[in-house]
Amino acid sequence: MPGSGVSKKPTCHTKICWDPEVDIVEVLTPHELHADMVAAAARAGKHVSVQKPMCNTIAEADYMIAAARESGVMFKVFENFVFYPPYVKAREMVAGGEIGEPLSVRFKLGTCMFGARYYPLSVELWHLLEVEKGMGQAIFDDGYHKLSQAVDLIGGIDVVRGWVDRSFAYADMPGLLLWRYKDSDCLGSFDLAISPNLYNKSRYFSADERIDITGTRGSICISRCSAQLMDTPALVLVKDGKRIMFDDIRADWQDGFSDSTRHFVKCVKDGGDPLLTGERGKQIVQFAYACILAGKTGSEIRPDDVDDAAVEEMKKKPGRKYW
Amino acid sequence: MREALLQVQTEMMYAGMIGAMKLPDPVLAAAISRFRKIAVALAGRDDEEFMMRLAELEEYFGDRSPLSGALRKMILDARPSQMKSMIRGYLVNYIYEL
Repeated sequence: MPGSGVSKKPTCHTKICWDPEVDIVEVLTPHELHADMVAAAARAGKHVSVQKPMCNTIAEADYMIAAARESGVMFKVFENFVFYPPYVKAREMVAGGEIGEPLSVRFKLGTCMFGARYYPLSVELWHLLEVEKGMGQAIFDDGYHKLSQAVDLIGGIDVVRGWVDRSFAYADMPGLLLWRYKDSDCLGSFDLAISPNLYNKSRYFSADERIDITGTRGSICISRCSAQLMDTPALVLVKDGKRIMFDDIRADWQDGFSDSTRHFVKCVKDGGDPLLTGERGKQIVQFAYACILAGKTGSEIRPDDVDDAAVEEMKKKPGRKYW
Repeated sequence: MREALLQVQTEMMYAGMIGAMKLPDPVLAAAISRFRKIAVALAGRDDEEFMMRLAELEEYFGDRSPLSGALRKMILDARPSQMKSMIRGYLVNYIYEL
């Protein structure tokens, strides 16, 4: 790619790993291939960024974390939503006390079936088929973005409850997931819906994504992300009787990708922990499985208690209705 | 009247999809291929995405791809109300652009 500084053509991943001109390897392959590719790159001395979701099992997460640690390389789980500029600004405002103590944070995913940019059906079907393996497109895959923001914004999760149905045989929606944080009185929720007859124009995926953060003296709404169903400003802050709309903030979905990449390059050059670290990535996988388990069993699930045995046991259960 | 016509068309298309899913993969692939050739001859420039979608379907049903099974399951196992809602959305947004 002339002018981009990127000159390598795609090739076999082992060749990339052992190429002395390569400093950082980005692993963007199906989930089940992540662990071996990340470990191979790390053992070849490359810093590694792996696309979310990090992996399918907790053992794979531990394997990648250990490989990076033993090799002394930097390991990042690539999740672009924590770099979406309106979210970054909102996070600063929450941390700066603009809305007081956070009381609730609500994530919304409204999947619309019309209005997206063209992409092959196989992209969607491949994700949807993951439901058969116990994961799912809405909670485990796309949900990884929201769950990652939920942890990034407030902190670790204590316990999860939820209800999840299934649409179009494969889609793990509609659903409602609720959680309590470990070190905060703030409560969290994630509502997922699929609208088969709703048009939502987008340059990317036609998802209606919003985050509402309510505090003791103010409220923040983040919207747009990959589409603009309501076409409201990407970031709105309400406090002290005033509504402040951030119209001039960068709000293209792709900004999160480029900022995330820049951040990792900066970490490699200057030091510092990447966002997300391998440990944080694993925490999100456990959170996602806790949501799926809670939705399937109707029980309260602690993400910290989720291990591969619990996930395997969950897959054997018939669950409720469509699960 | 428009809503009634949309409903009739939706029901007919749904019945057609369910019936088509009972045909074997090679028969479906051949039918889609024939339909695509006719569509290519009739289509305007703005129908490129529709042609690409047809080409994909031809590939999934013609290549012993696991995706043909996934598509069948999706159409046959989905709640009829959801499938019909999606078909109505397709008609409204892409065919009639209401």
